[in-house]
Amino acid sequence: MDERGSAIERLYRERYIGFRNAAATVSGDYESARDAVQEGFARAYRSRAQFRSEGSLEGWVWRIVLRTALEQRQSPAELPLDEIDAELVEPGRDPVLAEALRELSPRRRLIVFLRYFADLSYATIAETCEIDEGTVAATLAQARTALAQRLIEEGVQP
Amino acid sequence: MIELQDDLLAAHLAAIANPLDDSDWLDVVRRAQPPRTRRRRLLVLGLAAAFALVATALAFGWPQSLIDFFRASPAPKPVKNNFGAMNVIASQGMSPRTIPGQARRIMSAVFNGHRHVLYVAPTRDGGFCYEWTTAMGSCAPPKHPRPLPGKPAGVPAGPLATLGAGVQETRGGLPGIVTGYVIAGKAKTVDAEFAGGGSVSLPITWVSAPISAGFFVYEVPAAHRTRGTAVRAIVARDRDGKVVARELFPVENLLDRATARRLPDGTRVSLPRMAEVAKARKLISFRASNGSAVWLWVMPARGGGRCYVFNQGSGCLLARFEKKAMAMADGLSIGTRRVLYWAQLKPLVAEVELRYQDGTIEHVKPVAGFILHEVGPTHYALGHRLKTAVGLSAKGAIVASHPFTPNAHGIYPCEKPVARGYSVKSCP
Repeated sequence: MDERGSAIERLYRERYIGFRNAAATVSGDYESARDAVQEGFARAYRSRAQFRSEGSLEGWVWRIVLRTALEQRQSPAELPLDEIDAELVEPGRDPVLAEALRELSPRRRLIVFLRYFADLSYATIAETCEIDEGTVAATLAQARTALAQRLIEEGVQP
Repeated sequence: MIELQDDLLAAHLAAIANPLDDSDWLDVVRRAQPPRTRRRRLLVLGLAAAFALVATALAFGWPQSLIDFFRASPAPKPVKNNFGAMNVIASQGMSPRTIPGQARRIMSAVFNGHRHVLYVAPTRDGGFCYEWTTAMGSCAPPKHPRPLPGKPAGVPAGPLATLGAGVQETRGGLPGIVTGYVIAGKAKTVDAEFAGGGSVSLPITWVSAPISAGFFVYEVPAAHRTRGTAVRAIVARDRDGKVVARELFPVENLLDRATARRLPDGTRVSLPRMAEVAKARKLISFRASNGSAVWLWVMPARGGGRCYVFNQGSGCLLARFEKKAMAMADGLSIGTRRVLYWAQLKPLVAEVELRYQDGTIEHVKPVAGFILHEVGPTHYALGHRLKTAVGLSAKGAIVASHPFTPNAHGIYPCEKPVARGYSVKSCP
């Protein structure tokens, strides 16, 4: 296998769960998220020769996977990624957090999911959503404060 | 502060993240192949599957098919892990004793708009457990039950059920998806019966020994998603059409259905509709040792009785069931960083004595029939945990007693959770 193909396989094997869980917040459930990750990686693998090394390979694959997850939900494919209306898949498992997340803007929600479900660095989130790294940092800081404040108000501790 | 917020959020999201690893790189590579090759392969596979289906349908009579368990594809590792995890997370004596290494892929079906796969694993006691991917699952009772603790060997743990069915409810609380199993033997067919009359025969996929059972899944059509036409029962019949087993799905009282509600102080909670939230009053309120707020509210229930809600649970006791209620209904409510003892008491219980393994005793008096009490960090370590809760009358007589299991894992918080196998970690 070529170097780029190996890198995609390594990314898949090391980060699959993060991809699936973050994609689920976009597609709506884990089964369609799994399909989106499989199909997204297949597309990336098939067209790896077209990757132009302008950003990281990881950011490029993330964009493909999130777009594929968006297709599963039949949302407009041209929707900017930072406007995706991502939501918790099983809100009943933490209703207070789900409610608090709902009060965030779609951009903040997606960035929170990419950071905490997929463990992405600020740089990769910025690249994936095609926004500045500073915007990611500021958005995360605001979202963190709002969510933590809400959780503490509700008396919910980890 | 940022680190604290970061930890808080990370802990909450980690707790609800799906840990299942159902990755399959070969599937990615297969999907990445040029469409022409893939189409040809799919055609060949499709023809083979159709041939097998026709053959089994002819042999066993449509709509039934037969799967040879040991010739079925082994389940992927994440699924085997799920079956193994059932054994390690179960409380003492409740492990289904699955054999994860023998788990097999049985069939797939489309429901809820997605394809789901059924996996089945035998258990060491002659039963089996099954799961539909990302949907639901259960375990059948063992054919050779182990003796219950304190009972002589050979006494069965319970009757062997012929039929087991579970439902995934619609938003209106009616059966939307029905899945289940029927044990091979007398039962030959399975029907779904509707409120208002009528029934439909469900296709069964029979699985050979050691499972020896048939599986079914039924996506209830829109016409049967109203209260007057909903699925009310699943029945198994013998070859003469006689009912040999029945699983009922009673009509849920809409007042019993939990919905998101807001307490008078604005706190959002989940409570049944019967709870008169506007009349709620806060009975108990204090700060736990980790600084978190602990509270309990009570309110009347429509139709008589009362409902309660606290940080980690809620319930209602209707007036008509009050006589039958236990004198002391209690338990431990587990959090990742605090443990609460809660109790709902009849008036004859004037006080509860909490007895710990290290000899420590705490006396707690109820407030209007409720107790919410923190079991502090000094009682987290083995050797110091809650052993028994004893209900005492006003004269000091024992009127109720509840023994706990101090060595059960996963109840008390700890610094370093221990790996239990199958990707499960819990506190000792």
